[in-house]
Amino acid sequence: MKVIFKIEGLDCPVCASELDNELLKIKEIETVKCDFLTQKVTIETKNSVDLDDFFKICLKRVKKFDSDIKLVKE
Amino acid sequence: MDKKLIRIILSSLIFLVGVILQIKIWWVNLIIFLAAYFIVSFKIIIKAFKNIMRCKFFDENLLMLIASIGAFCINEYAEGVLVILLYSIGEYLQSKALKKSRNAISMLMKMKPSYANLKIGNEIKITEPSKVEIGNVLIIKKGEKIPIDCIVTKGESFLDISSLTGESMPKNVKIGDEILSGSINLGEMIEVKTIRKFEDSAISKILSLIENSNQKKSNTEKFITKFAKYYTPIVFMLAVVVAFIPPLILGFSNTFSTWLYRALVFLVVSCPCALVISIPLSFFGGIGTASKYGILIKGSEYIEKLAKVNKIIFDKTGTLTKGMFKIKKVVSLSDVTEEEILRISSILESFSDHPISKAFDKTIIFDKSQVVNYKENIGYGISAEIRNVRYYLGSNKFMEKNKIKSYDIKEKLGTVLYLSKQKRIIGYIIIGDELKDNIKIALKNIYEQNINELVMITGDNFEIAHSIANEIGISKIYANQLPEDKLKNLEKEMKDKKSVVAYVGDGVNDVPVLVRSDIGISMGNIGSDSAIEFSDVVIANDDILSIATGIKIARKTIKIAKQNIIFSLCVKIIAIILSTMGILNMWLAIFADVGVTFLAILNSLRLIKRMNNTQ
Repeated sequence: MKVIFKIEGLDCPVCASELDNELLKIKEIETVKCDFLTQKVTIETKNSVDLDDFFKICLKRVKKFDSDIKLVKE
Repeated sequence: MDKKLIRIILSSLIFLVGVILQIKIWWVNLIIFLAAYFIVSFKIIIKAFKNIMRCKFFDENLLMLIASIGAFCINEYAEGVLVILLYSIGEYLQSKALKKSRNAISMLMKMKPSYANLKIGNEIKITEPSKVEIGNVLIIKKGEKIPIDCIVTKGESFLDISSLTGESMPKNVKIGDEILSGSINLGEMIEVKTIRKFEDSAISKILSLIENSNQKKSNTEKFITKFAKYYTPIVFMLAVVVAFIPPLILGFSNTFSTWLYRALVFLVVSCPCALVISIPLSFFGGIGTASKYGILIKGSEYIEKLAKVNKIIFDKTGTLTKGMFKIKKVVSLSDVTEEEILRISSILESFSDHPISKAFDKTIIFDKSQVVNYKENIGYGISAEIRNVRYYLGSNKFMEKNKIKSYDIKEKLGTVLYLSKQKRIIGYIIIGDELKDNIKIALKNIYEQNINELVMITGDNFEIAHSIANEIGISKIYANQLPEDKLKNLEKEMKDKKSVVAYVGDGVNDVPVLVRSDIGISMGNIGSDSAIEFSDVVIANDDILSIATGIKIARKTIKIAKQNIIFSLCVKIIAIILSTMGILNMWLAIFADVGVTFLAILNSLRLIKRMNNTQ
């Protein structure tokens, strides 16, 4: 299923693609694209997921990657 | 005031203290500068460390750290702090400028409706738009945005539809009218019934189109991404060369620190930030600006193509013409009067739903019991018995099919409908389409953009096509086109390698041609899924003038992107040369790097400002 989160503090497209690679390590994720211009992360998951749990998993990963980047549920 | 700014200011103050006091006790001096250094850099150190763990060695943060620590190592404490301080200030300013640009662009693109006033019984419940079902009743108060496509069930009002079409004139609506989401209710409260789900409504489609427009990267952006991948490692290697080769040649002891310094400056220059940030931003700004005018461009790839267009092929019906048929002339070929011919035809057409029937008076009063056996042969004609006399109304092919001797009158005013009583033609009616209002100005604007090759393509006959083409000033025509002919002739027009061909149509009946052309532009039809799916540009306001506007915006966007590329590259190259010659200081190098990015971002904002002014 398609999941979109808002992402703040991502200013560089290089970081965006690095974050893509980092998030791909989460096993529920099929594809992910972080866009620093629209400030959105578009995720396609392999199966349907519980939105709250999934958000927590992604949030942890993002924080580990860079504590300045904030992930927000829409 | 945010934490980053506080840290920067604090660090700057301590730095200034250190510079002004110039304490001779070396370790006190060191502590002061180290304090200034760590206050502003501790986050950078953490990030650099994390990246090393991930084996990312060409990270900006790491490079800045190496450069500044290097400065400390050769006892240039102030310089070391200055490097990291300027870098942080630069990053901060860049972030602010980017935020400002994003906000400016988002203001152009309309915001998602965040709530709907759902009426249940006599109560109104504020609901999330995505949870509203088809057929639900909503209330739209004055000043509120319509969240979902719906039909008016109670009340009358007028709407601001500019977020859908860029059209600033208010649109009147009454009971039974369909209104699209994204419009704003300017008048009194109305009650409506939803006809689609939120995600299928116009505003959702437009927003998702714009948000996904970043997927279709332009060639420029693809190139920049590749360039950045190679640029940083190459400059890093050059830095290593600069650090070690000259000292090896000239003798290590006295020259090593000089060349190490220069190598460090090299490292500072090695970040291609200005390019990777400002170029996508310029394209994003272009898409956002265009959307303000009701021109929806599906990706930066299409901005590039749109800017290069040198030939435009127009479909006639619905694109150049209004697609609304009108009676142009009634001619009698017998002793039956024109009025009677028109009256009989209107009676017959009142039973039809075909677009051509709209030209006739649907409110005509007649005794329905007198009309029996109505038959419609779609695309050919209709017939019925009125007071036991059979009449046929349709094209000459329809007449032939019904074994009625027909004429083949070539009329430039429009399509000819023959009326026959029993088996004899008694007269004919000419149905024509009207040109859209702004055609001549629109084409003039297009010529002004140096696009000289305009072509008209239509299924109508040559006489109609020719007369319209003459009136508006298009010299090349393809008439009598079946769908497969249109495709063939499009490909013929695209054969020349230098041609970049745009096709303008309604997006519903000409999908293959839209897809095949270099740029497929569909007019209006924001509600149509096929138009959005298969065209590259959707002109939501159905206004021919928008074609020239869209091309203008595309060209300005490309111009600004090119300016940013040239500016950034030149400054980088000059910085590299100067640093090798030892002329460039480290902090000047940072200034050049970050300042360039900052200026490039501001340049991308120019497009939005300029388009705001011309409005």
